[in-house]
Order: sequence, then structure tokens, then C-alpha cells
Amino acid sequence: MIQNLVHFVVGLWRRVCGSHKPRETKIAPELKIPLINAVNDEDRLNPGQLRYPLQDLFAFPLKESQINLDPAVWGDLRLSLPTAYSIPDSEFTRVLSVQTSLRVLRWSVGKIDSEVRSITLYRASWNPPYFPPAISRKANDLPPTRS
Amino acid sequence: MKILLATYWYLPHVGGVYNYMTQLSRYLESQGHHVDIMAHHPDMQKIWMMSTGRFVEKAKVKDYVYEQVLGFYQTELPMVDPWIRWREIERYTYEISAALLGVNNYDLIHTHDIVSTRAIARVKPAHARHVATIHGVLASEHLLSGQITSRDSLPFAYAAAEEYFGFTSADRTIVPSRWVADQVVAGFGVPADHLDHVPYGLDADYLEIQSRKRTDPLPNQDIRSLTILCPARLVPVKGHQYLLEALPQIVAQHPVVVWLAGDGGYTEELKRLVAHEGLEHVVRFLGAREDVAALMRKADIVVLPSVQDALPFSIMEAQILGKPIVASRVGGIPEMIESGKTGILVAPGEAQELARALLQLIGSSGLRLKLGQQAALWAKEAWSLERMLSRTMAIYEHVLGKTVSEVQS
Repeated sequence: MIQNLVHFVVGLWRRVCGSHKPRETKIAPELKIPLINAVNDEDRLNPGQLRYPLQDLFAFPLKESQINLDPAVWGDLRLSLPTAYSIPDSEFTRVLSVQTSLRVLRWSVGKIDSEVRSITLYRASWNPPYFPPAISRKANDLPPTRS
Repeated sequence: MKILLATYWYLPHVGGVYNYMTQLSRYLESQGHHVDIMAHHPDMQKIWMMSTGRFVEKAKVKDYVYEQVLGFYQTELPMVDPWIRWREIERYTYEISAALLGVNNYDLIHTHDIVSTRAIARVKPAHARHVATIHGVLASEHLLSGQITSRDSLPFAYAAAEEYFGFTSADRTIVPSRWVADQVVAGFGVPADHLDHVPYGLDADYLEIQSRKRTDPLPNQDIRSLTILCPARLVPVKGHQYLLEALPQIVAQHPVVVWLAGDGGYTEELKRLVAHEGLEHVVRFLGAREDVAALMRKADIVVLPSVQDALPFSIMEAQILGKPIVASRVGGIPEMIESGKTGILVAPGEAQELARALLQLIGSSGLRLKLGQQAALWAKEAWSLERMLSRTMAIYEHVLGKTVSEVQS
């Protein structure tokens, strides 16, 4: 148990100090989800029926996605994203790492505390409850001296 | 200048964020800027550019994101619970959708909530300046709605991180009320000098025109009765349940009708509560309405019993239209109402106090008139749209490092 705790505390320290890097996954080059970015320039501005008469700025329903499925999209997407982009967001995973570590630590300390208490109780039950009083000696109880 | 207004909220909807973005968009376009608006579609299945109608179906992006997020959390952080993973997946889906729709050609991006702010900050090009307006404090709303059960939980720690990064990821962050600023500075460690306090503004003339338009037909008895309007989304933080608890006491003394204008996930629960209290003849569920201003003009009293609210547009609208208001002394509302002068404030979650305040107004047409007139006088100055826009433009210029006209040229 102590070994596990030491391992855990070292892990926590590494995470807090930033030496632990969460796994950062770049957008995969292999195109698992085919997307198309073929925007239909001819038809896309068909306003259809206004959703609300007052909101004439925008709001017209469209039936079909106009960023459609095309393998080229992920390539374009990668190019358009900042180079440091990754999923998940490392700022959030750092917070979650620290918070989960703190909770595990708190749980471990609680566990150790309860273990220590149970050992103490066990020892208390094991030791005899009665301890004979120490033999007290008063001055006049001094052993007789040779005269 | 090319400007993108972006939000994670669905648009169009009835609510303050939509009002704010619409007014800003109209103004920017009137100044010759090109403005696009990106948001969730009302079906929540798409992220769309409202101005062109282009959209990305979330499902197509989500599969990929789902794989990445679950892969990471299962191996690295298995303790993280599904609520957090779901929010992670939603944010990454939003940011990839934003990248697919294209954010590279804008000079300025103005986001309107913590999720879109963090998302856009991660995918926008370095040259695009970024301003955020954060309209409320979501982490405490999660607690109030019961989505998060404890401040000591991992989900709350995550929600606090969402607030922190949402409020700090843009170049500057605008907050509509001092209450929002105080909450996030004290509660989530957001640096105070990163925030700009710019109260909302409202186009009073436009509101006046809207309020005089015809409403959808209303039952005849509603027109004859004294009406109380509660214009708010039907969600727990708006405190409708306290209004319904207060009503039996009011109905016992005065014949009134209550209009609930808005929709939301709490509708069925509230309908059950209405049935339980035997108030079906009093309470009307009007749903999401486009004619809230016209309903407001027809109503005698406006009530907003929120348990949390940053700076509700409905109070601003009621004040400009000269309506007496009863609202909770909570969030940014005390910055809007001087109790006894421009409305009446009551303790949040106190149905008895709410009933007393409403009875006071119902019983005195003179008091209703006086509070309404004083509120209108104050509101026309306090909620100046020109001031909001000029201060927002000053923030744009600050982050751009030059005047807007220089950017245009």
C-alpha cells in the first residue's frame, strides 16, 4: 500500500509540474470520416421560408448539409487549423489530471487514516486493559539501610 | 472589416443573447462591415452560418471527436465521468465545425459564451482578434439546476475550468453586469483587468414599434383580466415554481391571468405543478413567442422570479415600455431595479414575499403607474444602445490596435 501511495504521489508531482504530458492526438491523416466541402454556390442562398417574420436578417431552413462528405475535407481542415491544435484540450486535461489526483490522494489519506484507526483499535483490544500501577516508593519506604 | 459573431447557443431563439447579437449585427452592417453569425441550429443537430445558411451536421464530426475523446479518457483519466466527457465532445465538435465552416478570413471574432469562446480561441488564426461577451455564469446555474450536485465534485471543478478558460481565452472579455465580474473574479480566479463592464443597450424605438404590433390571438377573458407576464425560458433558474407557489394566495383575492412566455426543458414539470395547484384557469403557457414586446404592452405587471440572472433583457424591455416589475434580488437584477422606485425586489425563492409584492401592485393602479413611469425614465438613459455600441467599438479598436475605419481602409 505504501509503495502504491509513493508511486501515486510521484505521479501527482509529475502532473502538477508538467513533466507529464497528456497524450495529444493530432487530427488523423487517415480519413475515417469522409466529409465533403463541396459548397453548392448556386443553390445555397435559396432563402426558403422565413422562420419568423420578424427575424428577417437570417433564419431560413435548409434540408441538406452543404458541407457534405468528401475525403478532402479533413485535409483542408488540418491545413486550416493552428499547428498546435490537438484533441483533447491540454489545458482542460491538466485541470482534470490534477483534480482527479487530488481526489485519489484524499481518498488514499482517508483510507490510510481508517487503516491506522482500525489497527489502533485492534491493538487496544489486544492489549490487556489493566496495567498494574507502578510501584511507588515514598521516602520512608526506602529499603532499610544497614546500620 | 469581416466580423464573425459566434455562439454555442441555438439561434434564433427568444432571449437576451439573440437580442444582443441581432442588435450588434444590425449596427455593424449599417457601418459597412461584413458580418456572419455562427451558432447552433434550433434543432441542435447542426452548427450553421445563419447569414448564408451553410451548415455542418454535428453527427459527422462527432463520431471522430467521440473516438478521440473516449480513447484519451479511457486510458488516461478513467475517473472522469460521462457528463464531463459529453461536454468535452460537444466543445470539440463545435470547434471542428467552426473550422470546417471557416474562421480564417475574419479580422475580428466576437463570441458570446464560454464554450464558443474557448473553441474559437483554439481554431482561429493568429491574425484574427478575439472579443468575448459572456452573458452569465454557467457553473452556478449547473448547481442550481441540479446538473452538478456538489461544489466539491469533479464536474464542478470542470465547470470552474470552463468558466476560467471561457472568460480568459479571448483578447478582451465583456461582461454585462458587475455581478458577473464579481462572481468570476472571486469564484474562478479570472483576472479583473481582463474584463470590461459594458451594460446591455436596447433600441427603444424598435422595441416601441414591436410592442405595437398585433399579438397572436389571446383568449378573451385574458384581455379583460389583470394580466401578469413572466417572459423567461422555462428552466429552473428562472424560478417559475415560486411564482406558481405564490399564485393561490393571489388568486384567492384577485382574478388574474398569468402568461408564461418562453419554452424550455422545465415545461412539463411546470405544467404538472399548475395542475397540482389547480391553476389551469389562471396560467397560460404561451410557448416561445416572437411578440414578447407586444405581450408586454398588453400585460399589467411583469414578473421575473429568477434564482440567478445576470442582466435580463426582459427587465430592460419592461422598464422601457413603462411596466411595473417584480423581480428577485439576485445576480445583476439589483443593478437594474431600485426597489420601491423603478420596480419591486423580493428575496429569491420566497413565494410569500413574491405574493405580497404582486398583491401590492395588483391592489394599486396608482403604484403600478408610478413605478412604470419612473422605470421608463431611468431605463431610457441606463439602457442606451448607442452607449453600448460605442463602448463595444472602443473595445474592438483596442484589440485591433487601430480604429475600425483604418481596418476598413
